[in-house]
Order: sequence, then C-alpha cells, then structure tokens
Amino acid sequence: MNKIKIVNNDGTEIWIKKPKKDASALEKKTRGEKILYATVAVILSVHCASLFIPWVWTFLSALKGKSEFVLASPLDLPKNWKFENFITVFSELVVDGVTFPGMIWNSVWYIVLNSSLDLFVPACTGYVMSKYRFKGRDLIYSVAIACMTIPIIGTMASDMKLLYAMGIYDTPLWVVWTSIGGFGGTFLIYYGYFKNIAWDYAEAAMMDGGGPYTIFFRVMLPQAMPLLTTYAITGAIASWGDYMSFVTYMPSWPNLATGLYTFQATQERISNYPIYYAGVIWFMVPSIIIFCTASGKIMTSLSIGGLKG
Amino acid sequence: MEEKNVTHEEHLAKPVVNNKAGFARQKMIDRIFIVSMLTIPIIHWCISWFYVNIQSILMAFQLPTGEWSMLNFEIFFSTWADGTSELILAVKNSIKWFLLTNAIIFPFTLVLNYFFFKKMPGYSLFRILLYVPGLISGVAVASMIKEMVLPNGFLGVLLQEVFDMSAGDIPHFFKDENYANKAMMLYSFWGGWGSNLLLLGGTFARVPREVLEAAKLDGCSPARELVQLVLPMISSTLITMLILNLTGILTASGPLLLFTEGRYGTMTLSYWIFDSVRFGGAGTYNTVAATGLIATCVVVPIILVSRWLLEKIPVVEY
Repeated sequence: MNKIKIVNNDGTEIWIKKPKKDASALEKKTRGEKILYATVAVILSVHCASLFIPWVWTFLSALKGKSEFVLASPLDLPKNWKFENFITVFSELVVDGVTFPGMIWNSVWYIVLNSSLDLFVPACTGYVMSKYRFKGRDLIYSVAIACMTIPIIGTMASDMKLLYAMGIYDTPLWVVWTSIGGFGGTFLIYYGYFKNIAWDYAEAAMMDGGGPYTIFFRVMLPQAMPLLTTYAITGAIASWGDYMSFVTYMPSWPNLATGLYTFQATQERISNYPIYYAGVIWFMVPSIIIFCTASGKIMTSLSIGGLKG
Repeated sequence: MEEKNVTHEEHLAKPVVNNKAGFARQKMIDRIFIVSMLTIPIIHWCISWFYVNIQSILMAFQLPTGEWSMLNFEIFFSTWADGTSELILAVKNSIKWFLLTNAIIFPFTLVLNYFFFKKMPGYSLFRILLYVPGLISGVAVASMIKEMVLPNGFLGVLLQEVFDMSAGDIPHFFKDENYANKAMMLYSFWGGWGSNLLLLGGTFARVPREVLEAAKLDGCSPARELVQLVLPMISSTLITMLILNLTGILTASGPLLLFTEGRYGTMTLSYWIFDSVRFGGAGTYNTVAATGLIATCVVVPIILVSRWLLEKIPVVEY
C-alpha cells in the first residue's frame, strides 16, 4: 500500500502518498562527496590489492620444488604443485632442535598463559580503581598514569639483570611474571569501561547476599564480556605473532614466529624456501580464522578513553 | 546494557545496609577485597617498574665491576661531541620513526576513519581488509616482502620485464644505505594503518550522528564538519593517544630486527639498546643504562611540556 491516511481535526480523512523510506541528511551525498568517496575507494582498492599480492606469491612459492624456487622466475606459477610441502614442513622445519609442532606448542601455551593473565589482572585493577574509593587510590591512579606517560629509557639492561637474579630468564615463568602487571594501557580501558557500569546491578546482588567477589565475578565481569572477548581475541592474535619476547627473553623456547624468523636467517645456507613459505602460510592461518569469525566484535568494541581520573 | 545519564559518583560502590554494625562489616569485607585485588599488581609494579628503574639509574653511575664512576657519561658525551657516536644516527632515525607514526600515519588514518564514519562505499570491507595485515605477525609479512623486493625476486623481475631493466639496475632495498631506512618506513606506512583504524573507529562511532545531520542541513562541508565538529568531539581520545604516543619520541623504531638488524644506516635508539643488551651481555649493561638515563632526561621535559599544552585544549563533553 503506497498511501497513508491522515485524519484532520474536523474528522475528515485525506490520503497522501507514502513518502519514500526516509534517507537521513547524512546519507544524501552531494556530487562533490560522491567524487571524493569514489576516488578514495579506488585508491584503497589498489592499496588493498597490494596488501594481498605478497600472500598469493608466498602461497604459490610454497607449492614449488626446492630447486624450482631457485632456478625458475619468481613470476612463474609452480610446474608441479607440491601440496606435500604443507605436510613436509612439520618434519623438516626444525630450529635448534625444536620441530614445527614443538614451536606450535610453545605458541599455544604462551597464548593461553599470557592472554589469560594479561586479560584478568588489569580487569581486577581497573574494576577496583573505578568502583571503590579508598586511601591511596588517587595516588595509585596518578602513579599508574605517570608511568604510562613518562618513559624511563634504557631499563632493559636493569630488567635483564633482575630476571637473571630471579632465575626466570629463559623460562616459562618469565611469561607469568611479565603478564601479572595490572597497570598499563589495558588497565586504562577497563577503568573507563567499569566506570560507566551502573552500581545498581551490584546493589541487586548485594540484596541477595552477594559479596564483593560475587559482584565482581558474577555481575561485573559478565557485563564486561564484550570487552574481555575482544581483548582475548586481539591478545591471542598478538601473542601468536610475538617474536621479540622470545628472541629477547626465552631464546630456548622458540614459538612459531621466532622459529620462522630464525629459520629464515639460515635459508641462505639451506635454500629450502618452499618449506619455509609453507610454514609461513600455516603460521597465518589461525590469525585469519580467528579474525574471520570475530572481526565484527573486534571492529566495534575497542576504543580508548581520557586520562583524567 | 541500558546506560543511564548519571555521574561517576553514582556508579561507585556503596553499602546497602543501614545499621552501623552491618555497615562496618561490609566496609571490612570491601577492604579485604580491595587488598586482595591490588596486592599482586602493586608488588609487581614495585619490582618491575620502581626497582628496575632505580637500579637502572644506579647502574648508569657504575662500571660493570660495580665500582662507582662517571665513565659511562664521559664516553657518551665525548663520542657525541666528536661525532663518532653511532647514537647520533640512532637518535635521528628514532625521531624520523616517531614523526612517521605520529605526523603521517596517525593523521592519515584519522582522515581515513572519517571517510569510513561517513559510510563511504565499501567502508566496512575496507576497514577489515586494512586491518588484516596487522593481524599477521611481522615475521611473516617481512619475510615475504624481503624476498619479493630482491633484484631477482618478484618485484625485481617484474621491474626488469616491464621497464626493460637489468638486475644490476635494481638496488637491494633493504641492504643499501641509500634505501634501507626509506624502504622500511614505506613498508611500515603501507601496512601500518590497522591498529589506528581499530582504535579510532570505536571513537568515531560515539559521535552523535544527529549533530552531523543538523550540520549538513545547515550546509556544512565535509572538511568543516571534520575540523569543527568531529575532531572537537573526539578530542579527549585524540589527546590521550597523543600523550601516550609522545612517550615514544626517542624510542620509536621500525621492524629493524626483521629487515636490517640495525645495519645500512637504520639503527635506532631502542634497537641499539636491544642489540647491546642481547649481544653485548652484562659488560654493556652500564653503558646502556647511562645512555637511557641521558635520553630520559632529554625526553621527560619535552613530554611534560607537551602534555601540559595538550591538556589546555578544551575537551567537548556530550
């Protein structure tokens, strides 16, 4: 039906044509805007294509034979598509005695340990600091912010000395130690998030006899689930790709990123690039799968607040 | 969750009991809760931040043998003064990286986010596609690029065939002092939009569209809308990001470990620190600590003044 009825004050009825679905003023684009957006879209399309060309080239290189990779033109497609490279990599890609599956295992436990602690501890500090008033709170907050905004440069040497003294250098305990810091950028985001959650929810729980732990774990944390999930996902992706931590603090426990970095450095001698690239493709798969299944959540949940307490 | 228009004070934890004994008991439970939640992070901070920093300052005034000395500073200043210090180049490169990140990539992604916020054609797809490279570890992307841009790699052969060049005409972009730094910066610009798009995307989403609608009905141009409406409305976040970014003024760096390991004129201050500690061993710790202390003394006043100036910018509340 394309008409709507309007009843006047005197009771008479008139029928008018139904207006087209209301397009807000923002959605109406001027000619200049259309040209601008089209130009930007073309530029971005070219840029996006350039971002994915290396992936395609790497995938095709992973399908080549060892000698074919060296002798044939890098523009050529593989002559014999050696899909078996994706299996061979599991036995042939070895770094300092650690096999490809061993590196994957190191990546997995690192993600679980690092992401879970990194997620939970700042949530605790962010919650307490945003919801409770207590002596020293403002001091703690000010110090936390000052530490973030005033860098002390060159402390890596001192840090290394401490790790040696604690006996946790090049051990998985280093991961635990480095992940239990509750003050940092993540703290700030949790702080802002919890600050805006109404206390009414907690009051209802208190009426039912719930204590502060019940309120935190069963009322507040579930409310922060969108943020926690986003951080879990982005944290897992970051931990999966982390190579600096392993190169610097856990050289004997290469994860997949570090293993690939070290393996590539030896390629000038070994020249088994197809196997290496098969490893690179395997390495990229989990990040892409995680992102494909959770891109919407990641794209909408993250933002940063102000610094004022 | 339905959001009410209440002040922060109304969101604070408060007891629900009215009698004095119950109130005191609840206060005690709250105190135990606060202590249990904060103890580990505070102890961690005391050791990993406070102790480490104090020790670093003390190490700057010591020799590797533990003897007190100003030698670390003397060596630093004498090599700096006669121009032989490799740190001169390192500091210059660090500032270049800082400018690339904050004066080029940040404003660029800000404008790009504005286009996405205005729902340009394909904006959601572009946002995802541009974020994806950020998901893939630098190890993977850098290894692809390093091989592709070799004179006999994908790009090198492509250039040879398209422009009829020989392999000798194409430089080793990451092994040539004339190109290495620029090539790494181009690489970082090329794939470095993702995190800003993500953070700023969330910020832009909070801008009330009614305001923009009203502005558009009044004939406001996109440029004016961005500068006079959107930027003031997201200024709180922008100031926070700028203040946090300022901390990297001397420690900004690129993917040096993956491309050049600090060679070919690409050394930065943070890579120099990493390289010295990693390969130099305990013998270099004191030199690193002294250099870091000097850099801190230079950077902190700059940061404090900049922060003071940035906080003078009025923040729009809405």
